Order: sequence, then C-alpha cells, then structure tokens
Amino acid sequence: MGKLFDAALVLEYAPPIFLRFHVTLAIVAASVVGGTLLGLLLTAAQLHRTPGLSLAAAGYISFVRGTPVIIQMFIVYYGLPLALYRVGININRWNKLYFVLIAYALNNAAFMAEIIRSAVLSVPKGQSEAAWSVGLSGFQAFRRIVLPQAFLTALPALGTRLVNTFHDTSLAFTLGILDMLGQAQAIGVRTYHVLEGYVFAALVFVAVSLLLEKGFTRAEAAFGRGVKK
Amino acid sequence: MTFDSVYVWVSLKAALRCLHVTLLLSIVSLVLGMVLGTPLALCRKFRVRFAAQAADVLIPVLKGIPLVLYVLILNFAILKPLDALAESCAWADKLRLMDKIYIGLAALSAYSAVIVSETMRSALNSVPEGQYEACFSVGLTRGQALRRVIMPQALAFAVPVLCNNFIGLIKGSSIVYVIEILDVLGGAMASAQVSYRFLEAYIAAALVYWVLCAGAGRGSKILEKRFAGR
Repeated sequence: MGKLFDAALVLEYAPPIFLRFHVTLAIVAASVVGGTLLGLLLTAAQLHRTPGLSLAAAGYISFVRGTPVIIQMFIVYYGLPLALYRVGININRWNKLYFVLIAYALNNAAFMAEIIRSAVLSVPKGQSEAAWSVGLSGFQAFRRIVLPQAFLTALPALGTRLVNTFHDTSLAFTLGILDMLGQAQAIGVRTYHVLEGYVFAALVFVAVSLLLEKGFTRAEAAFGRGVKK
Repeated sequence: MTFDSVYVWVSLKAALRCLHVTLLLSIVSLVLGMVLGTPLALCRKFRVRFAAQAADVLIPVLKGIPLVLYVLILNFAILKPLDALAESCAWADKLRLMDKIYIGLAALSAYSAVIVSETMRSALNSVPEGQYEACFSVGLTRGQALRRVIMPQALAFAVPVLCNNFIGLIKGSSIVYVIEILDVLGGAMASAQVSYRFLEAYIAAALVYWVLCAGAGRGSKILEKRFAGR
C-alpha cells in the first residue's frame, strides 16, 4: 500500500475510465426517451380520470418516487425474468445492461409524469377554451396552444431532472455494469488505487453537470424570449 | 425461480430491525445539512467577503458529484489513514471494526449541506428585495431583519423543498449499503444471504422506504399548511 492519493495516477486511469462513459450516456438516453414516452402515458391516464387507470398511475408514481432507484434496479433485475417466464418468455440470458436500461426508463417515467402533469395543469383553462372557441380540435389545441406554454414552464424542472438522472446512473455499477464507476473499481481491485479513479469519475460528473445546467439556462432564455414576465 | 411472499415477511422483519439506522442517517444529515447549509446561503446572499466567493465556486462543483461518490471517496479517505495509524500504533483491529455509520453520516451530511444551502439560497432570493430595504429603512439591524421579517417568509418557501430534500436523503441513505452499513436495505439483504430470496428482500426494503417517504410527504403537506397559515 503506497500513497493514499497519487495525482499522476488520476491522469493514468483517466482514459480507461472515460472510455466507459458511453455506458452512462446509454442509460441516460434510455431513461430520457423511455421515461418521456411512458411519462406521457401516465400523465394521460391521470388527467383523463379513467377510473382505475388513474389510480394505478398515481400508485405507480408514488412507489417510484418513494423508493430508492438502487432497489428498483434490483427489483427489475430479479423480478422481470420471473414475471416474463410465467408468460413463457425466457430472458435469463439477457445482458445485465438491458435490465438497467429498463429500470431507469421505468424510474424516470414517474418523475417525467409529475413534471408533465404539473406543467400542463399550469396552463390556464381559458387557453384551451379559447382554442376550442376558434374551432381547433382537442388535439390541435393541445399541440399548438397548451404544449408550447407547458414546455416553457417545465423547462427548469426538466433540466434538474436530467442532471438527477445523470447522477442516478452512478448506481448501475452495483449491479456489475462496467460504467465509469465500475471501471474505477475494477482498476482499484487490480492496483489497490481506487481513490484516483473515483476522483476522475467525480470530475467527469461535475463537468457534465455544469455543462447541462449552463445549457438549460441558455435554453430557458432562448425559449422564453417574448414571454411577458 | 419462484416468488414466495413468506420471504417478503421474513425480510421485512429483518429490515425493520435496522430501521433506526436509516432514520438516524437521514434525520441527522438533514439537521447537519441545515446547520451547515443555512450559513453558507446567508454568506452568499449578503456577499460575505471570501466565504461568498469560495461558496460560489465550490457549491456548484460539489453539487455535480453523485452521492455514491461522496460515500465511496469518504469511505476510502477516512479508513485508509486510520488503517495506517492503527498499524503503526499496533492498535490491532479496533479501528478496522469501527462502526462505518460515522462515515455514512459524514458523506450524507456533506451532500445534504450542499443541497440544503441551495434550497435556502433560493428561499432567501424568493423574498422580494423591497422587504430587505423596508427593514433597513425602519432601522432594523441585519440580524433583526432576518429573524423577524425575512426568515419567516423564506421558511414558508423553503419548507416544501426541504421536505423534498429530506425524502431524497431517506432514499439516498440506502446508498450507504455499498460500504456495508446495515441500514434498511442492508438488513433486508442480510436476511436474503441466508435464503437466496433476493427479489423478496428488495421488495421488502422497497416497502419500508415507500412508507417512510409517503409519511414524509404527508408531513410536508401538514407543515406547508401551518407555515402558509401564519
């Protein structure tokens, strides 16, 4: 056991760790795309007040928001093969990464649903009514009048959500996914220097988080032009 | 593989035996976060020399680090020097067996201080500038203005966000499981090591967290009403 922290090793371990960044990006992408689509479905179920469905959506959202993502990931990992095996589909040989992608999409869906719902509800009812009164159909009114205004309200929350999703991916290594943290640990096992890898991973997380925040501040300014304050 | 709900019950009991650890971790880190985070936010609001500049740089950076890295880095950075010390003083294994909960507390509190300071900063900023000016114009000192005018308004804004932060800490405290602290998740998993019923154990742990977070959410609603009613 040598020095506790060797700055030179941070540079040495940087390339192999950064090479695993695409795994993190894949999880974030699945989580954003899958989460938004599922989130829209959940919102639709809640806003349309379909009996049963809206209750189920509310229960799902409450469960996902009330439990740690690390547990949800393992429930999907152990539970999904079991559930699908009952209906005759065998996914026991699936790559672990697929389970993580599904788990994070399912997780993000609940948070996206909350964001979308509160954004849609923030648009005054009069806006839809005015749109209907000039002859727009329900869908047209939603797409052309409600959605643009809701999007603007949701933008800050979406930015925070994206950063949080990105941070949440750091837990995938607990399932044995070889992302940046998994790689840092693998290096640590080989060389007994684990701190340097963690520090480099932390630097990447900080840099990307700051970039995302800056990007969303810009986007808010760009999309918010011409809006009465 | 099958699913057997009997094992959910077994794991649930094991998880509940460790409930105090999760509660301790989340409550203490919230309190410490408020104790450390509020002065930081005040420093930034009133542009206290050096402290404000340092916080302006450090807080966005620290906010960019995921909680699990706080836990892993602090675990390593605290344990290794202690190990070396123990070795050189021939304390044998005493420190190695030190309760890791202190490391979990340190990591969660550091994380919570950053998060809470951001909450308090936006709460302070939510009070209109005119309120500060009005206080000073009638001769209140900064401390008086804060205590009697600003803070009551800022807290009404901060309470729901702080409750959200608290829920985040309850869920986040499950991460200390990676450094082998026996919290709710750790307790449930320990029971599964015997039976190999991992799915049931995770579901049991999830149920405990769900109840905790739903309870915290309820508490948040009640507190909000109380603060709004003043």
